Amino acid sequence: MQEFVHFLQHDVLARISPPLGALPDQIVLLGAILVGAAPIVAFMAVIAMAWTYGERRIAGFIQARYGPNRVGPEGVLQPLADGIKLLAKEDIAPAGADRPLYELAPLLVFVGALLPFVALPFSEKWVISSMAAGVFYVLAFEAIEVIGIIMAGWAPNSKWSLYGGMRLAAQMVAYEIPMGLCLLTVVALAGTLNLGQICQMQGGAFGVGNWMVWPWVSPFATLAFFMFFVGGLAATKRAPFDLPEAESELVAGFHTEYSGIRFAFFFMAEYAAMYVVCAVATVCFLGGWHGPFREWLAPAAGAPTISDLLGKAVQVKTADGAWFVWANLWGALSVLGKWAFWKPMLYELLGAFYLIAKSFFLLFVMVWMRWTLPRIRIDQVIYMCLKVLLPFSLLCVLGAAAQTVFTDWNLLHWLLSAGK
Amino acid sequence: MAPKQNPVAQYFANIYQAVATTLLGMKLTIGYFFRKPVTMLYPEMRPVVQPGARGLHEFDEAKCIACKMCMTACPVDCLVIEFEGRGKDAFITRYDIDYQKCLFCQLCCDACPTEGIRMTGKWDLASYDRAGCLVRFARPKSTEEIRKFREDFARAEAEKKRKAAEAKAKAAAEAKPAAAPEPEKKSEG
Repeated sequence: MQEFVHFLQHDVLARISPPLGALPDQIVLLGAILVGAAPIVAFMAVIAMAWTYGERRIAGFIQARYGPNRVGPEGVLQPLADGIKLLAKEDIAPAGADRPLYELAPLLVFVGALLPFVALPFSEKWVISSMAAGVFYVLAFEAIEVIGIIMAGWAPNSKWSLYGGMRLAAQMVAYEIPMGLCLLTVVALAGTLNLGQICQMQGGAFGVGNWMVWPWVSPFATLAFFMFFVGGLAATKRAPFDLPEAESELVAGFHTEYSGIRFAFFFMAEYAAMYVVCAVATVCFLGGWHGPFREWLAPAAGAPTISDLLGKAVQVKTADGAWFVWANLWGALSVLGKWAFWKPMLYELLGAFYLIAKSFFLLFVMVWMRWTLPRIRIDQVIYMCLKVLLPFSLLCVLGAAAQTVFTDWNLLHWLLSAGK
Repeated sequence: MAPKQNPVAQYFANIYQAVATTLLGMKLTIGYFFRKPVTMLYPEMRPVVQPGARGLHEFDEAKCIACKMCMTACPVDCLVIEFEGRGKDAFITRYDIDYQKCLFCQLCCDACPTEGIRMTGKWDLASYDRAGCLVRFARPKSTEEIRKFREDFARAEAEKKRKAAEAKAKAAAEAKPAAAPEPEKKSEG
């Protein structure tokens, strides 16, 4: 933490203006947290808004109708109108509710949906924290949501909420196992838990040929991808596994008693969790930021970094040879006119585009499945998890382990000689 | 019930069936996704109704003779007529149809002897309150106009009465000479 703060002070803030570099550690850290969290929350809100609209439009088209198309051109401002409506609604708590739990539950669910974004890469370098145990971290924080939802089920003193919460607990905890094992398949093949490194390995072959999902890379990962997707549907309580909020039986399940902004938190968390599952599937199986034509923009070794470009453009040196942007703002802005500045930017942007486009395709498939399949029974949900997905995902892990060992001669040799 | 099977074979058959039916369903729904929606965007697009459709009424005040046949024929009493005068010259002051009550049976139109009221294909009468469902077909008249009509009508009636009386007197006069022409001439002379 200390190193990170020093990095910000010396290499970022002091580069803007020397007095900023002299800010106290606490303020720098607080600022870094806010500046880091703001884009994630904004991204999450945009995803949720876009997909509430998208889901309703897709549902409309699948049912041969239009869906919302009145607010703004083709109805694109509909989520904004819904948001204003939710903000303006009265915040009601039922009599006999456990107030502290009742108020904490939506926040916990929201935080559970927010935290995985920290380790989730958006592009090769656009990641908040490239942590070594990224896969583990994402899975762990996806599971925090369960606690929030059980709290939301218990706190409002409502039978519908409680049924919903208990169903979700059964379902989500069960599906964490095959989902984890499916990711373990990829981890075994890649040899790392870092999401960025897993994605990095899938490059090459015009950006499409080396994705984990292709059977020629590993047939086990192909199977694991489909099982991960099914598990993801269940873990984000999407149809046909939407028992926790089965509207025909449980009114709205665990969020029956929530209204206004608290309901909006649940809603945003649901769509954010869907995006996280799809983005993890994209990064681990569908090649993440890799796609056609991106390699042409790859920066050559020794290409100037943005820091180098800025230093050259500013051309003002203080006594100790350091440069800072504020000394020559116009000079610094001239960087914007240079291809050397835009080329790496475009490289990252194209990566982000590929990653988000693939995730959105998976989200589309989720919505498509929702409007195709009827809801299945809770015993069928658990049967499917424990008797179908679990054995097959174990098979995938073992298969991937065998593939790793038997295709890597050095590793095999090391394993065989380890006993001697 | 399906024939009894080896449980292991049944297990794999179930998985196969689940995947196959899911894919079949998804194939079906994606077909609908790319099809044009059947919904009609109502205020901008309106359906074309068949020629014989029984919709909102059309009233021709010039043809109406205020015979109240439509009002009598109406089974739900949704029709109200008020008028001055009578017959072909009748001055319709009110011809209201309450579409909250109207059941579009067309009996009023069938009853009309002059085809002054008939039904059209128009069907939408959306409004924000109940008053919007009450359609006043007669041209609205000012009290001035009504007073003038009343006076004219009274004058015309009086004229008519006078003419009728005159004609009667004339007829009586013509009938009398045939019976007794003599004293008449005498008096004149």
